[in-house]
Amino acid sequence: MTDPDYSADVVIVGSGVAGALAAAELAERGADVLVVEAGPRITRNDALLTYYDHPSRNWPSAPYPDVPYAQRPSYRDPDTYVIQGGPDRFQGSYERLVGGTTWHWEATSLRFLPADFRIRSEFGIGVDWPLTYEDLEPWYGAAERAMGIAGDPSDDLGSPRSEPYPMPPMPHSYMDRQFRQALAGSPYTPVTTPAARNTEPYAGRLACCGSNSCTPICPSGAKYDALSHVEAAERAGARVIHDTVVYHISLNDSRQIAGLGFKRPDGSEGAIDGQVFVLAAHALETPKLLLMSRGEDNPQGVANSSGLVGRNLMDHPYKASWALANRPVWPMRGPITITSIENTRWGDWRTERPAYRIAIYNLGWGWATGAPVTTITDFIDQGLEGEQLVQAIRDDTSRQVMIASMTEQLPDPENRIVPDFDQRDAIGIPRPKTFYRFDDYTHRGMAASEAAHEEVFGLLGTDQPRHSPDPLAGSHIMGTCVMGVDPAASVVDSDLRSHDHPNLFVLGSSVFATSAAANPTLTIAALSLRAVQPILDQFSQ
Amino acid sequence: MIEFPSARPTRRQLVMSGVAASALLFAPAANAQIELTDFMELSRRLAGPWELDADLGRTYLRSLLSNPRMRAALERLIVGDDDGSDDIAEVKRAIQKQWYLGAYDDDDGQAVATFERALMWRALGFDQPIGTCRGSLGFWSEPPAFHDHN
Repeated sequence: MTDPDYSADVVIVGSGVAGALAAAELAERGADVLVVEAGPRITRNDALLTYYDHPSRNWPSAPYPDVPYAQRPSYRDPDTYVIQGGPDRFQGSYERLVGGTTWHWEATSLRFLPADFRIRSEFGIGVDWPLTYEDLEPWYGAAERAMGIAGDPSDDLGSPRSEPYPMPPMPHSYMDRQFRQALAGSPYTPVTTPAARNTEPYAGRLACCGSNSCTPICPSGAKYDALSHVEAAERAGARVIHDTVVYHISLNDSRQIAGLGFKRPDGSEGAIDGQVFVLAAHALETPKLLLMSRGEDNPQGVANSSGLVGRNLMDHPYKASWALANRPVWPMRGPITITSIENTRWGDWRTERPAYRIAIYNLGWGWATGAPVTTITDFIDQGLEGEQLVQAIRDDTSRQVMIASMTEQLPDPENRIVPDFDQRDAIGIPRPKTFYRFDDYTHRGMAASEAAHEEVFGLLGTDQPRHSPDPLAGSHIMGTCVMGVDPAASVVDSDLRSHDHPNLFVLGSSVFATSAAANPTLTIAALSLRAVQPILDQFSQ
Repeated sequence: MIEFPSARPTRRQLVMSGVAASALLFAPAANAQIELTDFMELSRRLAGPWELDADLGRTYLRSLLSNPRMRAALERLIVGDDDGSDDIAEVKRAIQKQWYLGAYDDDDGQAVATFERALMWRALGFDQPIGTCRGSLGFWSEPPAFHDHN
């Protein structure tokens, strides 16, 4: 073997929240860490300038580079990168750049419910996780402190806490107050959504200044993104290299991971060796890399003796609804969502239909219709001019309300991602191909969500709501390297270590056994922090 | 976060003019001179009660003049020949969209002339555009000050 280009105690592939948090913690505890990112490294200013100059600014990926050597699902053409094997389209997106998808995430930071970890035992659906809420609870607290979560301790979210939120709750918007008054005493209990958005200076970042653009980009850094921990890792001595696309994992004779092969944008290739390898490249790229890494002794790829790498692909299917309130509520001021309804995440009916949560979005109709741009152009196309035009815009946009339900999707081994060896990207690496189907459980969830939205809007007082017709993508990609106790039925154990290769760990939502009805990032972060000690133990051996 | 595949403004909604700017190659010689001051006066009438930036006006006028059909309609509109025809309606809409969106057509499609000075922010009642720091924590708890309502 030729000399490697890089070598480290711990090599982490991916610099999103999963990889960056682990990198910072490992480096602070003395490990020699190398973080390898496929995409480029940009500054917040770079992203803002791109965003301001973009004709479709509310698209989540608008501020970020679309590079041929590290493609991701593109807003310009969703089929540019992911190949759809059907029958339903898989439309989840993510970013490939230093800091990962936290650049554009919403910052909602919910813990899962205790029952979410044992839905097979409780409801006879899905599978149980190999760990419990109680196992993860201290790590939820650690993740909340690391990221900086603001929440209201008086809200009952169904997830017992052993420590307070690091920051006080986000002040409610005027629109939130209208919803809260309307929903008082109803079956829908509004709460302040815990979020990684500063309500006071925290970890060197300022308090929120109300840009209303958390997705696609926070202009101030008040919203947490993984760049914080990339930089923390570097301060502790970690090296971070970018524009470096890992495309192969090689094994040694004792079936440990021996090293990684990478490509650069110019087509040049190189090698990385290390003692412990951590894949944190999110739930399409990580399984794709494992499945691409086939050899004579491992024709199924790496870490895939179970045959489950790439399977159980999940997202959170969404139902969105929008309407005009019968009075001004003044959306589009403050964070993009502050208030939500979470008491719909639990109930015996989970045997029949999904748990869900309803987010009250503070975006007007932005994500649903392209407002305010489309609102304005529609009035112009109707022939309105001058003061009449201004009044129409103001009257309409001040009353635009949108809510959306995020539903739990069950794991299904037939929903999967595979590398397509016949269709390759610009540097010759197979593109991901998805096979994906929404089952009846999801469709029942869509119907229940729509009925709930009609009730909520009825209580608020709106015109006839509009509803998204099909399940929308939540871009919470999960399940493709499932964790479990049985090596025949899972890819990693509860420490996130590969059953097949003791010096290989997988971080990120690909290890989720089920999806719950909570945004995944806080659980990703908690699991990453929990995995640090096993990783340290491995390279210390 | 939710992915709405259909939530992008369509080309039809955004388009400033019906014909690509490159049609200039086939443009007839101009019959009339259109002064910036005339264009600004027309813009004020169409766009609403705002102070308009002459530098932006120059950019928008240049874009319209590069399209023969828009140019012909604009020449008529400037001299008060508003016969309600489709061409006249189209150039009026194009001018309004330019000012409200801060964007214009160029050879490559749509170009952004300004982000922060697009009139849409003022029409929405915002002191600062979405995507910028707009105030201190919690300003969003009360309605905007410009409007008296309960």
